[in-house]
Amino acid sequence: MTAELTAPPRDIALGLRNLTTEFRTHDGPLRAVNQVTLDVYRGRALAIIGESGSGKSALLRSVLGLLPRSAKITGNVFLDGRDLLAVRRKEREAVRGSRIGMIFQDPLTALDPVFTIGRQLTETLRRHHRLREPAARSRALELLEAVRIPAPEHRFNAYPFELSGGMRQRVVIAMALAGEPEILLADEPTTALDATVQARVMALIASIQQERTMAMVIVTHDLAAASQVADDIAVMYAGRVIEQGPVADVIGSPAHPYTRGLLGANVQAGQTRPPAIIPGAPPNLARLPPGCSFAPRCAESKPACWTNGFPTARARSRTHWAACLNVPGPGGTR
Amino acid sequence: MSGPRDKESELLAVADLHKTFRLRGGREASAVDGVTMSVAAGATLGIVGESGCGKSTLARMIVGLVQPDRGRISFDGKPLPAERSGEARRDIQMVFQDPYSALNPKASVGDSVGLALRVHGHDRAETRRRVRALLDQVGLHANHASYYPHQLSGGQRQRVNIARALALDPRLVVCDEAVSALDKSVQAQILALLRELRTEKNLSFVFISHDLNVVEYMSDQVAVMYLGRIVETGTPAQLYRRPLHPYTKALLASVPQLGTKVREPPVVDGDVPSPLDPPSGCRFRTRCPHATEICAATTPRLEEHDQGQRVACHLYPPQGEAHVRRS
Repeated sequence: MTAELTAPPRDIALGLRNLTTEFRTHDGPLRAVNQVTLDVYRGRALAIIGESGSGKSALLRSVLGLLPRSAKITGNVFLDGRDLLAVRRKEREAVRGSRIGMIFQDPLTALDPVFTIGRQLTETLRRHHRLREPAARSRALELLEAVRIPAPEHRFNAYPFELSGGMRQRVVIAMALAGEPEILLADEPTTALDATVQARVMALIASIQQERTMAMVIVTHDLAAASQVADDIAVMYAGRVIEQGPVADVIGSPAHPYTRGLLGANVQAGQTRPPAIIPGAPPNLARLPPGCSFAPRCAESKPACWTNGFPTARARSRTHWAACLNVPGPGGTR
Repeated sequence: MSGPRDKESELLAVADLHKTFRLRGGREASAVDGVTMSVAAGATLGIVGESGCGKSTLARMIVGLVQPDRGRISFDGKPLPAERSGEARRDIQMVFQDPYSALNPKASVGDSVGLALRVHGHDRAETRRRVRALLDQVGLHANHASYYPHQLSGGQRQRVNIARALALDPRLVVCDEAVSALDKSVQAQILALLRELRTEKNLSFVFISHDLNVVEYMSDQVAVMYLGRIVETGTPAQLYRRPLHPYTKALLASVPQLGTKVREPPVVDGDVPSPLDPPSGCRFRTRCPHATEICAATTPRLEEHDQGQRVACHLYPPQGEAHVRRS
């Protein structure tokens, strides 16, 4: 859908094409992710923004192959021209540990409570990097240092419960970096942390991504946090990406009415006027409306929005597009 | 907050409230340690702080769900006894964070909202009539009364919780992270509803949240809590424009603002210490860039600094003494 809008393919670290994920439910098939086409560029951070049920986490899990077998995933996930969805499970697992690093929301469940963090780190290094004992240990200490854990030799033998939430999330980040990945995927990495800790962990993730010129996808519901670390933003609604572009464009001149609503609903510092209200609630993903899925809540919808299928992407600039009939498309019709 | 202003208008006053939880193995967690604050009639007091700061324990003591170890809670000028009267329980209601677990999944919306009315002596017909009016007031339909919680969205469930809290015509509603579990677009709807109810019914609120922007928007007065104590209070304008306490400053610096790329870490290091083993003296000193020996030795008192803005920090000696800043 956006292939013609993207930069040359050599800059693309990860390319999603028509990625669709369906779950079987009592109401029939539920499309959690609906024909998502996205490119993640080398050295750039992409934030995927969405509210609960928008499909942002399901998207990340589909890419990683972390969904239950009952989930039906179609489309392509290209890494270096190879489709991760087409390769065997074993091969995908190898890629997951080495080329793609993952950071999850809750650091306590991401770590095994019965092993020391040193043991968990060296295990990862032995498995994915084939490092032997002394080398694995010194590399693990390097990683703990890279995520700014004070006194790493001392923490090496600590169990997860002995660390604070912020320290645990640093360990999770260190584990994600163990395989020297080219791509870092983070699912709400600071949501479970306290505000003052959140800011530091976010700053750490941003600096690591830049130092190592990794591609990063960060999934979050927090627009402000996303704008701090990301270069680009993709906004998801009801399983689809409905707007994408550089942070300054999406936040400065949002093209989709939903993005505008989300920005207006965000209470900002020093705000005295009431936050904008998006009426209603997101649609049931098993019973999507025939036209634009946002039309029932949209103040700007017109008859065509309800009937003409989901709107195709319309470009605002070479890098900024939105799936809305009210955005003047390439043909310029309104 | 309870400064020189006339005490007449104070609806809720809390004085030197303490609560320590005893855990297995004889360990003790100091959750609330000497909190004094008040809420004026028709006003909203916002409370901000990170996990473990005691804001939820404070909320539960105000509504009577947790018994304080020490201290006084007065409502409308009268001290509230440990065993509260029916009237006192009607007057102070609470809205919880998780709109789903706060509702009985096996009770219909009408039963959940009407239960308190029945308990407080309304008959069936009167209860049904009141429930319909309440649902209407919070922006739901009368026929939502026959729905069950799982049939509602998160925002609708929180509306039900608000309707239930309003059922007995309270004068003070304590909202403990009442919008935190909601999506931003739904959160805005609930904030608008709360503001509307406040004007219409002259309700007072204690509005607890970790979201500083939302608290600023909702509150007339704000108290910042850290490890069981209030470290600073004032109007939103005072606190947000000219924060005094190093913790308030750190908290404000941590709030991501739209479109700003702050890549350098903010000043405060480390995590919040455990309430099982709080630092001596000022509890923030272990993370404070300005801490000196006096901070470990003496607990700073919450003293008025300027026009009702109060701060508990040795950097700001009480008025009258010389204004020497230690750094």
